[in-house]
Amino acid sequence: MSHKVLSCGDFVKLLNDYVDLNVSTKESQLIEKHLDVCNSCKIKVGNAVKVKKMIKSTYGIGASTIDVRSAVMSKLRSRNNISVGSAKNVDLSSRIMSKITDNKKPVNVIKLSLSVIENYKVLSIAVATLFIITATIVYSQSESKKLMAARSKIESYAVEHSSTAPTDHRASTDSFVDNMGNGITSVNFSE
Amino acid sequence: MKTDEKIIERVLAGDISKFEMLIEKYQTQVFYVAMNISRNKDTAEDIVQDAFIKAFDKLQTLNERAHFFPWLKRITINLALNNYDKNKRIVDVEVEDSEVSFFDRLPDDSDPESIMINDELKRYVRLYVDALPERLRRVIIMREVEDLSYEEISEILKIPLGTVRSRLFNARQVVKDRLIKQGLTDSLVSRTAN
Repeated sequence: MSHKVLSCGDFVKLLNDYVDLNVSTKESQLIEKHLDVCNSCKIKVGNAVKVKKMIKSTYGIGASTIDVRSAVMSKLRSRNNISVGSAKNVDLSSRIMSKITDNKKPVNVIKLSLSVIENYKVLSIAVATLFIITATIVYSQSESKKLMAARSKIESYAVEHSSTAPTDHRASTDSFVDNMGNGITSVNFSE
Repeated sequence: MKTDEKIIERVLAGDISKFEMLIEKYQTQVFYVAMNISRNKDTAEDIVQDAFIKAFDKLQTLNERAHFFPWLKRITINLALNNYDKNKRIVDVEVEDSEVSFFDRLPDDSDPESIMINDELKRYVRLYVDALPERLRRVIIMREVEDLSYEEISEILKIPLGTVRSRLFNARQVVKDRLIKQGLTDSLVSRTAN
């Protein structure tokens, strides 16, 4: 890079950065070498700098003035509701004190209500636990009754079948076929 | 005069009346910042008020208190840009290098010879800069007038650094070419050289 010589095309690419002082020391040295031998590029730099200065002076601070002090300050004061000067401390302290006094009630109410909730919480947990225990007992009792009934049915069935099984085998088969027949009444046997 | 740091310290301690000193010190400068973007005096005045109120609200977040003005300037620029975008009615859809549209948008002007040369130059510079497409105009104003770096412009406008460079290049090129065509560049050089 240090041995490179800039062409006018290379220089134009760097012109903006150069006039904005955005180039490195090496680039700056290269540009200055080029400007020493290239008058047209020197004119380009001169024009760019002059246009920059002219834009700045055109849009710089002019004769127009404004005074927004009172507008801004009154907005800030009304919004913050704070007065200025010696009265400020009095106003502020009384306001803070009034806030503290006002806030006492809600804090107590909140504390009280929290303690009530705490009490109810314990009570509701106790009721819920009692309910769950009762329900479990009732459920287990009903289940055991059902189980007992089922057992007695099975036992009676077993006793009944153990005595009649060899002789009633055909009859039970017939009844099975009859039952099946009831379910397929719509089947067409003509084919 | 108290430094900005001391004033800010007092304001943050609760003495909001001291904020008035900052307003007095910087209101004209930020007014021109707002004016250069909004191009409307009344709008600029509203923006200045909003900028100071926002600065007051965010004062606690300003780490380097000595840099109050650059910080306030950025607040003002952002408010002005938002305001402009919110209120603009004509969508800028032209190509950046569209020279024809640029000239078409130039308003009719009186004879340049009838006014003083320096005022004439400024008047034409303003005419040409204001006639640029808004996206080019913003970049050139932020760079040449507000002295913002390429990086700052990129951040504020939320555009890549390369776009900042190309827009700045195009904007300068258009203004310079126009001044040359009007035969004003030579007189510009000789004027500012004095």
